[in-house]
Amino acid sequence: MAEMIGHRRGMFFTLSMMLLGSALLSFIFFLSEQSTKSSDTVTYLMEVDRASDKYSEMEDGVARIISQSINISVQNSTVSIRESLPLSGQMMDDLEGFARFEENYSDMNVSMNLTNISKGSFIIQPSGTLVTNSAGGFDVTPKNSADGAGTLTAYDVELVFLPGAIDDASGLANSSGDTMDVHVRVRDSSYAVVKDFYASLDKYGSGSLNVTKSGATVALVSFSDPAALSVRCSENIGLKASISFSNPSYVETDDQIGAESSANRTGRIRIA
Amino acid sequence: MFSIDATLSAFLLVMVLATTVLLSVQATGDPYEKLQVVRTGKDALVMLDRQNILSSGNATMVETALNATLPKGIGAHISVSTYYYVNGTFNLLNMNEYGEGVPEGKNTYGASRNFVGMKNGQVAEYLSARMWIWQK
Repeated sequence: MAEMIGHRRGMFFTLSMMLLGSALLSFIFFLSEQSTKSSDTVTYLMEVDRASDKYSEMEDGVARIISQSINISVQNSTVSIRESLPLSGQMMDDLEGFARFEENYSDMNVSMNLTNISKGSFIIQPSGTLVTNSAGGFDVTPKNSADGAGTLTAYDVELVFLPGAIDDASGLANSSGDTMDVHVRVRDSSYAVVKDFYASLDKYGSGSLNVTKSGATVALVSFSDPAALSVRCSENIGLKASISFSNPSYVETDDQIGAESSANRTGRIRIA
Repeated sequence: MFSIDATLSAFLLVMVLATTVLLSVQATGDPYEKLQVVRTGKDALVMLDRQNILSSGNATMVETALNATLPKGIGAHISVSTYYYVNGTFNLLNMNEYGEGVPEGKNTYGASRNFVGMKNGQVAEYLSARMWIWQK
């Protein structure tokens, strides 16, 4: 009887050891699997980080180049743009050079389409207001919608001419409807001529301001449906335009850049 | 029966030892450490670029900023190549080295950043910075 009990104990002990061995093997296998998964996750995280860094590096470079020609700043819901008209072609050359440099000297595939920003076009978001520069012109064109022109509340525009380039300005009268506040200052850089115009204008109407020299038009500032601003000028001028919205705003380009590896990051360039 | 138990025990002992070694080796090559060190290096490069320290080419400024930015246990070496762009081609102007020498036999990690140097409102040079970073 005692021998039989001893025999059973022995078998029980052996079985326990085998179970313990199996449990240990499973534990090692589980740890190994988890470790591999964790390592893969970190590798992927590093790739995401790398793509993100490359993307923000390109964004920084583009914003730095743009800031030399167009000074754009945002204070809560007011976007201020300061530039000289006509826009210099240097910005276009510099942006093209930077795009080529990134393509040649990056350790990952990058793509930079800078067609619009090279021409001085960008977008104020979230209203989708388009700002464009053209030969002898500057335009602000909001979307014709409640969340576009509907959110634009004011324009504050300043045109600075060379001394002696202007002697008078006239126009801009109040209108009723869904209005926005408009202030236009026209001056020359010597302050010999300084003229301020304040008006409450219907966003969906029109109004214009004629800047003249000896009766001849030098520049034309006009407002039109939907809350759009247009500046036309054949002279070299300094322009400052502050555009206020009812919502907090930011500025981005309508161009896409991308950094591509096993984790991709593509999107528009945030300027301010 | 005793010999089977002895064999099983020996087998278990070997497995416990193997598990210990395996976990120890995996802990040594902790990938999170790499992530952290590389992040530190990249942040330092961004800071040096945004403050125009890297484009200045001033070794004292770069070394001082590096020492002030990096944690004490981190060593770094930076190589900055400066190019000028003419007729669609980038030409190497110079290459500057900053920081400590890269140690041998240690895990070193890399970070890089391309940026532009401005002068008189236009791009004067294109710079490419490569950083080697390690735990001392």
